Amino acid sequence: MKYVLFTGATGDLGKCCVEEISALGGWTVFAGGTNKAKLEQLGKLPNVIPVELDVTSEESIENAYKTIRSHTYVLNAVVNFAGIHVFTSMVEGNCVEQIEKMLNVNVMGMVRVNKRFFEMVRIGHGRIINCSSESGWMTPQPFNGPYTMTKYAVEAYNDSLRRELMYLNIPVIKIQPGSFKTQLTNKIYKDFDKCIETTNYYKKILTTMKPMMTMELGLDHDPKKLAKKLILAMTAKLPRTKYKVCTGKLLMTLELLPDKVVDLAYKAVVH
Amino acid sequence: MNNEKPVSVITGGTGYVGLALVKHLVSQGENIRLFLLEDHPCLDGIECEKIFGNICNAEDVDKCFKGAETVYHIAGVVDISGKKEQLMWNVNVGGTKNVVESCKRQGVKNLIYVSSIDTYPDKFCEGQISERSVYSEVGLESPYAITKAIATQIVLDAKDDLKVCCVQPTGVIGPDDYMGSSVGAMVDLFIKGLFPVSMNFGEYNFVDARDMAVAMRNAVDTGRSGECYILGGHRVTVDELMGFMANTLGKKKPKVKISKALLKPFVPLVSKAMDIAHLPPMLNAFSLSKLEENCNFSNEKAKRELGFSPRPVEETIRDTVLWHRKKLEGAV
Repeated sequence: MKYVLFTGATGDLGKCCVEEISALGGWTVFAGGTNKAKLEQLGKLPNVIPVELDVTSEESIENAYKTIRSHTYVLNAVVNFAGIHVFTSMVEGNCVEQIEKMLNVNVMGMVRVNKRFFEMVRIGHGRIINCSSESGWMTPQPFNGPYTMTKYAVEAYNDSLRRELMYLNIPVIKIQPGSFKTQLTNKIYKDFDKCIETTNYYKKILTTMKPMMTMELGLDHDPKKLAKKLILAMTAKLPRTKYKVCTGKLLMTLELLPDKVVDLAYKAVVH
Repeated sequence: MNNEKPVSVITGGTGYVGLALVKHLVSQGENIRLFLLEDHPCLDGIECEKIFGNICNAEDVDKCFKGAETVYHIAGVVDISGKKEQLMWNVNVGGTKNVVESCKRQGVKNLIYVSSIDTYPDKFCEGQISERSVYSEVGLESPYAITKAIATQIVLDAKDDLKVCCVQPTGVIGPDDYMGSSVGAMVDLFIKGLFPVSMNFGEYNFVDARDMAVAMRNAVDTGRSGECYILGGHRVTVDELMGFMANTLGKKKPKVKISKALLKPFVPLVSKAMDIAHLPPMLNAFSLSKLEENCNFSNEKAKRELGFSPRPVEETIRDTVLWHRKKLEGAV
């Protein structure tokens, strides 16, 4: 039996991945999350042990460590999926507080979890998988800056961790998913509307941009595609350093153009 | 066997530490019960009770520990070849968990556990290495060391339920090597004249299994619960070891001393050859690195509290070599 710790297991994508790993067989999943009702549901799956885990709290991580350690001394994989999204301006409203909150979950949460469970991964000859995003390597879209900041940080953290842990033969892999229709998407819509209501300068711009954003976020990719790539990252004998899943075609095309041209395009669309 | 005397259980009684302890306890007139996977001719003629079972099976362990006052837990898997990692987790960690839990269930008063000096991560530090209070996998590389460190802490954590002491021997040598250790295989080759070269580097700390046995018995009376005791003997260089062996056999010490730089490229080849010849893995990257580690272990605590008294290393090597010569002559 192999063991994997999965953070963010109660999110829509996390839940789908946990279900697929459970169905795979041969793996015990420690499904970490903060939503008790959803954890209870996950606990009904075969080979899934729900663990209360708030990645922003050292105390919660320590308690989860003790629970997991009572089942196993080794981990064959740690999958960092815990993440949040806040849609906010970079200068208006309570952006500093929001950005700090997102960095705390998306980046520092990963750092805390990997630090605490690193020894279990090392002695289990395991691997660390960090969930980045297509936002981790694309030039940020307007008003999606804070989320992109965190994913850029995840990319840098992941790559430096990989180049550190390679000396201990621990593979560190990043997953770069595109957009999936989840509750996170609904939250983005709500944040967007809130932004339109509260902004002093961008009401017209944001209203014009909303259909574009809806089109990109509304792409109905199958979350099982993500689960499949994740399982590949967990089980491949020689895993790649990164796996891209369902990258947005329009956004990828924009990446091919010079920055100034894309800036002008964003401006032209709004006007 | 005197049924009124308290019973002492020994797990792993056929290894040379186990056998040395069995002989010592019998010589003290103690009532002993061995927990064995299978019988072995080396136990012929020794008055003891034998219970057969697997240490990975909690029911077997319970059956054996029933009514025991003291348990000496020696059974373990030592592997530096990297082929038995899962077995080491099952036996060294899982087995030790079973032992500790069974001791609690069966009301055993004393548990003496043979840990290992490999549980110390201070390989490349300078100065003398003394006992720690907490053991974990942090800083350890070999799966053997990791499993032994975790098992040691499992034993120490039971200190409030029964008296637990861990002894941590350095390189154990001595006669009665029926199970075939790596050092024993080297001695065999030397006696056969198949070890014609010495080394101009490398040093290790050796302890006599018989001295260990005395200290382990004393731990029941004078050891403190929750404490570890390093049972370190004497530091001997590879060249000195060759010299002592040659003296015992009346041979000349190998004149040629090879350096590490010269030996290193041949290590994978030698390791493979030993594997093909079904010899214990004497020389591989792991054993080579061990010869360069700090082997300056303090045995002061064991001397003070367990009456540990390591005999001269010349005597240990002489007895070891003579036993192996007898074995090769078919006399044991």
